Amino acid sequence: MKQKQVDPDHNPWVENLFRPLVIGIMFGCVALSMVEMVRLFLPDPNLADVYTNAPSFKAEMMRLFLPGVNGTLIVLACVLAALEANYSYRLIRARSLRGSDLLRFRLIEIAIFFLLIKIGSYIGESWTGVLADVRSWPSHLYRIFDIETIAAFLLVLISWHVSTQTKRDFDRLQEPPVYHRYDVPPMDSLTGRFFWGGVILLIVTGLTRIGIAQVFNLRRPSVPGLVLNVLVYSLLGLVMLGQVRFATLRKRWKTGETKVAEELPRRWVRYSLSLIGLAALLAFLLPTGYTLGLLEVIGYILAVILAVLSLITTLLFWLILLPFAWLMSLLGVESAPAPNTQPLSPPALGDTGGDVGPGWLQIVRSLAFWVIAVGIVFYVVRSYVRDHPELFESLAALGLVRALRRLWAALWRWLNGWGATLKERMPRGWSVRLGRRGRLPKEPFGFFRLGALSPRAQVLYYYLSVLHRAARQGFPRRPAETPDEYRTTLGPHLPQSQEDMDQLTHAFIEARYSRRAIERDDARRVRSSWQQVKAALRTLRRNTEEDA
Amino acid sequence: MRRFVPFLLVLFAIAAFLRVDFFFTIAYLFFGVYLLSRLWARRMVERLEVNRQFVSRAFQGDRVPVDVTVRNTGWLPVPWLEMHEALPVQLITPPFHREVISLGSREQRRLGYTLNCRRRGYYPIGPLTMQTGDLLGISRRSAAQAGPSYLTVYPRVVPLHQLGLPTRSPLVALPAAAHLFEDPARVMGVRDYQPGDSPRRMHWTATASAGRLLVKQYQPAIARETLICLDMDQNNYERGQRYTATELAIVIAASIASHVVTRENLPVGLTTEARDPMLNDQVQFFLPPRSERAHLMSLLEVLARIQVASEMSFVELLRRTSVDLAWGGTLTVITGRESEALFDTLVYLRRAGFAVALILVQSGRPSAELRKRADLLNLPIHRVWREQDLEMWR
Repeated sequence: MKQKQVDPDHNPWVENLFRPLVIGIMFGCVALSMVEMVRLFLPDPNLADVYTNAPSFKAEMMRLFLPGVNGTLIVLACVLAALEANYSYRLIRARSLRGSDLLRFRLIEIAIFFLLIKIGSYIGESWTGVLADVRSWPSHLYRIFDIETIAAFLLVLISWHVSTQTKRDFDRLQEPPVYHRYDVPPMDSLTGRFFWGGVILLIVTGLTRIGIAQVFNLRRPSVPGLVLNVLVYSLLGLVMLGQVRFATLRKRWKTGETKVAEELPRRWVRYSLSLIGLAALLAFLLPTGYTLGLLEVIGYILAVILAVLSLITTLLFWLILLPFAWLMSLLGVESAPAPNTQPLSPPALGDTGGDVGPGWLQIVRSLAFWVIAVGIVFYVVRSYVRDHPELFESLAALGLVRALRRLWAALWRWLNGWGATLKERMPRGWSVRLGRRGRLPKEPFGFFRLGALSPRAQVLYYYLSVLHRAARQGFPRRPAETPDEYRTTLGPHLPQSQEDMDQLTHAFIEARYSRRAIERDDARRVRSSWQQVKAALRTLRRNTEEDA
Repeated sequence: MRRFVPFLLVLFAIAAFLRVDFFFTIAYLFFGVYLLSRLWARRMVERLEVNRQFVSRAFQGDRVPVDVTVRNTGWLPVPWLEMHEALPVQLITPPFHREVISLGSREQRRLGYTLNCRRRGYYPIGPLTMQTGDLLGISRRSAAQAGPSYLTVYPRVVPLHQLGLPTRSPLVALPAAAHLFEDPARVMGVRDYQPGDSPRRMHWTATASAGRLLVKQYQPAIARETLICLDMDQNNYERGQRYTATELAIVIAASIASHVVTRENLPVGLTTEARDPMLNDQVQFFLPPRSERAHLMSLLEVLARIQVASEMSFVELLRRTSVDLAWGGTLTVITGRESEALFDTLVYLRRAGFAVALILVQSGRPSAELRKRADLLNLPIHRVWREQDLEMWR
């Protein structure tokens, strides 16, 4: 028996069932939120019943504009419309319908939608009621176009249109990219539709949850709980993005006559689901709620730091005043009161109604939330700018950014210069020697004490100090110059101290490069040579200044 | 996907503005997908190992199977890996091998294709360019490249009679039974050791002194060496048939070398100036005469690689290289065009004590003037142009 081969690029189950169903469900998720939103605008159902049961004109109007919206019907209609859109698209393509034929087909399709929705709106009603309503149509035409039917019809039309466009974009994925030179590429069109749908869904759902009146109340509490339709929309959308990506790549590989491994489609699905599953797990583990806003958290942290500093300051003052208090007590004056060691509590935050601030757990939770949220935003923006260097360039070209960059560069140069000066003043040998033997003994208040250095470090300091002074007077040591070479360069300028310079150089070479122990006496001898050379340099400078 | 990041930021903004806790979960979901996709895509390429296996030397007409093994050494799977192996058009059509695979954790895949060695040459096999990316098109594609390996296809070696060449003197060395080329009693100096030199020739004292291997050079008594001088100057071959003529010249050189070493058991060398694709430069080759099989393969390898060059003087090359040839040796000169300067040089070489043979790779029959001139100079001249044979050998 001959086995039927399935073309991997045209899997009928995926194309005709899976994709339309997913698109339908996704739009159903959006429609569900929209229905909830519509319900927000309806008055109290009991009041509506009173009006709708009354036989007056006012009641007639209320019945028309305030119907009981059947959410299930609308969502189901949207899903079915998505499926139908896929079928009709294929039918039009297969029959090559154009012009008036196509228009006629579409009009009939739309009329059938309306009819089915109208029939669907009667579900649950008695036959007599339905017949009575139908009989009233000739005299009251507006009864055909009640709000429920119109709303459902509009949503179904949008669902149908979006599904048709999505199906068209999926087909366009199979076309060479050159076809889309003057058009929105199908990949962008599909992703854009998904993202816009997501944004609308979130806004509508959010407004439904918090209530329109509370939108601009920034101190309202957060809304907890799972929003299933948003979750379903997001998960299905991500799965679809994976499919779109696969279809795009598949097309490219097919054009390039690239051999594709058989197991690739299967693995693609498996890995996509794993990735989305892992991301979902991560998402559910991260904190979502916060009781304190970002500025409040920062303010609270600053308040805690200030409280601690204040406590320390109070304690210090108390300790300083304690001897005076003792002396005063000897003179019969009252002793100084003991300091209030209770830390200043940070200000109470939030609209909790009382003076009690938020609990530590809430603070920590809010802190964790904001750290994660700010970190995420920072990472996303940074990676986006890195991936789009042209964006970075255009940002950098802005006047304000240029000024800020110049300011930063100047500050950086100043810091670098300061660091270099510090490094220059520090004997180079220190880091090497001290690295082996441990850190320098800490100098109290940062004062430099030459005597506290080891004899070897002292010798190094003497020589490097001469180098520094000589460089300032216009005799710098070149980077490749050895100490002996430098001695012959500097020596002629210091005729009276040439011998001292020789001794200093020799001592430096020994201290820097030999393993021989350097004694205190050695350092002392070198110190006198150093002082002589320093004096000679001073004289040289004076002479130069006088000549000038 | 350009809009993913703006969408993500909008999600965070909406979540922060509306303060619906679950919206943050959704934002985290998208961020998780974004983060994992980026990290995954970045890590995948780093963990790939490629190994290309094939016989790196082949003769014309051989079929060489190539195995490319791609291994994922990491724990993270590689969902898709697009591979493009660039291949020489002379050996395979189309000149590339493309395949898309998927690698699981620590999985390896083997790809195979076969090269048809239709032409001699030195061919790069690869590089292998690999592209991969995430599953949703969020991050940029990562690419890696595995450098090329090289395949040497030796020129075809044919029996000399098939080329219409004599198989005995004076084309090759004197047919003396005694293998006396150099007099070991008359050392005239030392030179650097070269593969194939007998250990008996090693000058140990000089080696120890110089710190490198040196061998003795003896004064030649009589040489039975053959040096093939191959002209690769494109201007010395007929314009319309330059490719065919130079390829034929190389086949002739290879065949003579093989004949001298395998049939006559005599040393053969090669000198030529040509473009070497391995060095991507014009190079002067000089392989001193040796009779070992390994030496023959080295010689064939050079003949496999070389390509025509320009702006060179073949006559000058002849004069220069004859200095290194022992007295009494045979010079087999292969060129595409005779000239006054060439004849002058050949006469000079003959007078210097070398046996000289000229092989002209030209179409048509030898002219009467050329025959007369060869007789006058007592130079054996052979004209080779058997295009049908060359076609047959391909």
